[in-house]
Amino acid sequence: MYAIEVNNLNKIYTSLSGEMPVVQDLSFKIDTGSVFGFLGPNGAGKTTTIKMMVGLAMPTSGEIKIMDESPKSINLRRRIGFMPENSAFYLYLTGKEFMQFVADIFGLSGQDKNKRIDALLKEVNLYDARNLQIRKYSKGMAQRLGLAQALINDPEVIFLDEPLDGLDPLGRAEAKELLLKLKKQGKTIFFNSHILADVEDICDQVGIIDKGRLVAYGSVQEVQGDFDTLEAAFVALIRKQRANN
Amino acid sequence: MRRRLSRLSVNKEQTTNMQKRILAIAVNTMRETIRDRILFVVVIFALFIIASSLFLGSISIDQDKKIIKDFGLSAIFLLQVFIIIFVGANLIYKEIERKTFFMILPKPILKQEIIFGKCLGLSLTTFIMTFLTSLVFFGTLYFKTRSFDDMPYLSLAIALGFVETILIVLISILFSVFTSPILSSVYTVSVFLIGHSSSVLWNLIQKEHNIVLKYVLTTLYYIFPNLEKFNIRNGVLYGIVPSGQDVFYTLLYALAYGAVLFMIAKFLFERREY
Repeated sequence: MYAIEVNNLNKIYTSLSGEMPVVQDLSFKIDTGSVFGFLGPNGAGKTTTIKMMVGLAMPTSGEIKIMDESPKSINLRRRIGFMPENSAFYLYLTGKEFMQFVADIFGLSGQDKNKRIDALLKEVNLYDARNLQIRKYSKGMAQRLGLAQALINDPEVIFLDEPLDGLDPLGRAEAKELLLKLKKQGKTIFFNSHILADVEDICDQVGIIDKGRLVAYGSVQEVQGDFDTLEAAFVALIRKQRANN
Repeated sequence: MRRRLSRLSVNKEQTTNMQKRILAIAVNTMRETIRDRILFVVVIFALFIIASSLFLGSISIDQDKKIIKDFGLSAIFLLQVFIIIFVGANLIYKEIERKTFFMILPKPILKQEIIFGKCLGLSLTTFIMTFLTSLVFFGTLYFKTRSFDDMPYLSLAIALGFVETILIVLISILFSVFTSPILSSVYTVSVFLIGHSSSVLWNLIQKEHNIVLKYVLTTLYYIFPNLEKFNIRNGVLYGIVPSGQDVFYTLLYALAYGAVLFMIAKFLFERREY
């Protein structure tokens, strides 16, 4: 069984000025326990795709299966974690209060809840700032809290939208270590990123999307091909795709 | 039998989890609104009005107790309405704009639980504010009259005002699902004003001879809430108190109207994409 299956996915936004296709005929499969990097330039359709996968947006057509369930399923939502791009929080809550709030939504309670929250806050290096109101957090701290809340339910599949964005080099290194640790635990990770160097280190598979269409898809080595770096392959593939259109 | 018992236990667990999620949203909403400094301004405003009533009462002749009651009841009601209109209008929209909902909606929570939790949280905030300002009000009144004789009726007037604010919370949430906070505030204030002008609308219907217009006005009369049902403040000042049956029907009306508002808000919220 694949952890994630996407078949002929389309998303078209309709407005007074007409129809705008954002995702077009997208299909891919991701193995359980693997890390998938979803790459693309700004406005390529990465965030819309991830939103459809976690049930924030509805596909115009096509199908998404996460662990064989629809993203609408409440049962599935107990088994996934999601960190949105530029995570936004309730600014007057402290980091710990926010984590408690998220834990309550998942129905966690008692000692287990507090242990899990403390462990996660330590993991993302926010334990010392746990009683500080979130409005006083730096962008990097907020990003790390976003990552911690996505893991509160010990999810099997984790969706991360630009998880390394806004982190300083040390923060990025720590976040990467955490992702690799999660990978070792057998979690399936799907993440959007435009920082290609990080993707090379962590991912088993990558997909490149441009203007809503999948341009390349496979292991890092397959997509990189004869190019020296994944970044060089990325630029060449996007240029080739745009020249063909 | 065993299967039925196990199904009952699953249902009980689901209900408990649902209550926990609603409570989590409610407590979170309450924390956010109480920590938001706008509320302190509103509380200071209410206390100022109550203090003013003492002053005005002291310079009026034989009307001091009535003025304190009148000012106090109005101040508490205005406080409740201000909280709802300025905080409530932001409640859902702010979460969509600031994208805090992106963090919550993909979690195992239903949209109706979010609406219910938000409504409960804001109602709790209003309740706390109402309770605190009522204490100040009754303290002021006792200071002036040395008696608690009118307290039950005044409390009933405050309580019905509170029930009205729960309806306004739902109206405000309904608008904030699909409009900006400014428009939501404008619409909520409009419904609030129309709701308190039901008798004017009813008189218009009685005098109207054009059948089509009469039909339209009658439809509007039943669509908009009749918020005057909850206003017993003037009556109480002159010793006119509604019967228990009237209060019961008013509460029943609030429940039915609130349920309809909740269903519409849920319907719109369900169809919204992010």
